[in-house]
Amino acid sequence: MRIVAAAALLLAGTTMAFAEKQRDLGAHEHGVGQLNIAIEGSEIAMELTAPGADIVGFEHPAATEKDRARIGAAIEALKKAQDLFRLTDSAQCNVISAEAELLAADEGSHEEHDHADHHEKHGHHDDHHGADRDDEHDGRAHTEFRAEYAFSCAAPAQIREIEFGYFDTFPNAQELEVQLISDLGSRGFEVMRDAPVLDLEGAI
Amino acid sequence: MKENTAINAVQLRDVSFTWTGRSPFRLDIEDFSIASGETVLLLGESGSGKSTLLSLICGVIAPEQGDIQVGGTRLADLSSGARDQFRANHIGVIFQQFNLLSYATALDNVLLALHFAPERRGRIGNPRAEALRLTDALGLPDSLVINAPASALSVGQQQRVAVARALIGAPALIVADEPTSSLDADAQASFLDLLFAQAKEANSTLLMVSHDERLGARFDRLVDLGNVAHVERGQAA
Amino acid sequence: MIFLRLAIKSLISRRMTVGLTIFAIAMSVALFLGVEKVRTGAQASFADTISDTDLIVGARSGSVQLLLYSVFRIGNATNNVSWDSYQDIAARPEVDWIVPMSLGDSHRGYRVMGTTDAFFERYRYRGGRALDFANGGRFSDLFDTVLGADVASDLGYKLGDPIIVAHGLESFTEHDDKPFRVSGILAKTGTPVDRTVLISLEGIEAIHVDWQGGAQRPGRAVSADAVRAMDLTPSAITAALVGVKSRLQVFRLQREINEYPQEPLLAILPGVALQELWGIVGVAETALIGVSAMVIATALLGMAAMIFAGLNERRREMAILRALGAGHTTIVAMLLLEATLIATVSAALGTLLLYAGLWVARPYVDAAFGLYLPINAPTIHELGFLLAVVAAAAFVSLVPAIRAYRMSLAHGMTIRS
Repeated sequence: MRIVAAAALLLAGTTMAFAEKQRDLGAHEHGVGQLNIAIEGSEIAMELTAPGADIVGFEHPAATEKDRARIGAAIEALKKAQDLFRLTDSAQCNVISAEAELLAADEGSHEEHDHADHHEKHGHHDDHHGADRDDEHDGRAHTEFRAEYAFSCAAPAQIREIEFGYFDTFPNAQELEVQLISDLGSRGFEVMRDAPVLDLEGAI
Repeated sequence: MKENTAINAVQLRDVSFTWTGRSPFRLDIEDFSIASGETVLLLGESGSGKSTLLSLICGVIAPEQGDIQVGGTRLADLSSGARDQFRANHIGVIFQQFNLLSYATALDNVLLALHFAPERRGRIGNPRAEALRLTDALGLPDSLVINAPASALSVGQQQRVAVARALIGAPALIVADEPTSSLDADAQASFLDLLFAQAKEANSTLLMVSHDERLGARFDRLVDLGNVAHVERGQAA
Repeated sequence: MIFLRLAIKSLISRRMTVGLTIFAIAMSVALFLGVEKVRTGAQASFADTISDTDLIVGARSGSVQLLLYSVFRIGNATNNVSWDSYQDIAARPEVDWIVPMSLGDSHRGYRVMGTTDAFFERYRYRGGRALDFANGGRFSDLFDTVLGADVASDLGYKLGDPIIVAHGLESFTEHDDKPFRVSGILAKTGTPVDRTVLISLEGIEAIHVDWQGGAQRPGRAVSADAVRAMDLTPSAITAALVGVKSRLQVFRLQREINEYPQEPLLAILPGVALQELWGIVGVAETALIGVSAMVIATALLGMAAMIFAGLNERRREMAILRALGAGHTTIVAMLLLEATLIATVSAALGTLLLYAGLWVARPYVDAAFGLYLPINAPTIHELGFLLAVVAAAAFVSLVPAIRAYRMSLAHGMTIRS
């Protein structure tokens, strides 16, 4: 086991950039959102974090009436948990609560404005180089939506899969990185737009 | 083509075959037949087309044109698979040498002939006993036949095993391609004695090819291949 | 049946070339199956190492790195977690239990881990099994140590033996003024715990009290007795295992820790990090499997070449069979049968080699790598693989078979020898 792990460490070293990307759950990559799913007994809690680019298609502060309307509509759409995440019917899951918000980016708004310009110049690059990224991290120039859901299921053992209507609702979203924790421990998944189903066979 | 005579064992009419290999040649045979039960010695030097003629009669190769009948069956009417089956059932073949699968026992070599020939198999009650009867009659000790691989036998012994294999199940026609050329004079004589005796017993027609005229005395008929077949060489393929 | 008998005899008559071919294929099959066994064995072994821990907390680095050094004792932490931060996390309402780990010292090549009694209560492996003591018990004194099963058996320690902890992982400077005493030996777990020397968090602090920058401060040594009177609260730890009260709160806690303002920290879900690790190792695994598949392909091509090369010598055999009434398909079938026989014997021999190899290598692999390779009956998957090898052998032998078919078409009954 040690030799395998040693090889892994070596590889991990060479692919640190890759590992780095995932170290911080707040890492911001356009097209990629994070979904956390916790299952305990009959209760399921979900937490979605997604870049503004995925949800409304822009990340600058809402400047116009039109922007504000789009953000409002997006938040309403994010609250429709049963449309975004369709759990296996026979599990009889009901949405207990659904909340969504746009995370206020940077309180000091002038810096954000500067950064938004800067960002435009760069275009929407998905991979950010170091300096840029620190900047963003501190300045929080990227806007993010966060939603929290609670489900209650009459027959949680029946859950076999989750279908992601999320990608239909938000055409800019490409991928969700999923963390799941249940009686059987934690697992990671990636759900892509072209295969918007999470197979939970053996994971719960 | 059948005439008012009895059915011939072998009959070729206006046959022509072109070989398109590395040394192309063309073989034409106007008319050649062997009566049923006849023993014929076909004389020809190497390169006179005798191997090709035998392959044609055995249905291993097919002529471009002309008619070949064996025991009244027109070979051209048979599919390639059916020709293989026909050959197995009706023709016993003996080569010049290297007749046997060297790794198999003499007994297995003899029995292998029956595997492809249900008709010959049907004439025999106990294949193993029949094979041993034949090899015994051909002067081969049982122990050698049953246990030793064919490669352990002398050339003369191997040729006798080949005779047993050709004769088992009494096929209508025996075709032998210079079967004695690898044997010395004494061995030749005793080999032919045995071959003739067994062929007679099985009522088989015998067609043997050789370049040695001296063997002719034993046969009903002696045919010079040059008088029957016309060979042209060197035609571009 | 006569064909099978003849085919076998034919193969035996060429026993040298056929034998070498069989051996080559068998080795390649054993290699492939062996790689597969090690791979699944390693995965199972890794996955069994930690269970029932909801989060692992460490200084901010890569999640795989944190997993490797905290659970597998591989690599090192680049930073520590301050004791204050640890206390803050421990005090959070979501936290049910927390186990601190302090790494960095060693004893004769084995890692030393400072922790608390909570480790013995909370650490779980292989689907929820708790640690058992084979001998003795937990720390009852500042200088008590509990040994993993392999440490005790490899170094021949028993209860009450003294142990000197070395400073760092590969150094010759030792904390020889403060020896520890073996108070307990754990039962074998098949996890890295077996290869760990456990001491109390205070013990770690005690041996470092008079140290600075990798050396004892000259003239300011504190004796083992004097240190007992001192405040031995650590200033930092390396990592912590955390259990939450409700799983539903795990992600909230994870986010809070990741966004902890006073110190850059990282909280990971062990299962997720493990999967990430497999994602990285997967590249090497795929390469390894690819290479061993290529070795099989090479061996099978070698077989086809062997059959092909033999054809010329076997023209006589083909002509004899043709004369006896064998059809072209019989000739093809004969060669396919030959290849199938070779592959079947090879597959069987390869499987045998694998089990013999496993049987011989297992104690060594277990001792040297902590990897336990189970010896069990071939799985459906493996049987399917063996069948695939036989089918592939039949497939590649089509090349010489078709060649033989052509030869039998062209040469008729002429025999050239």
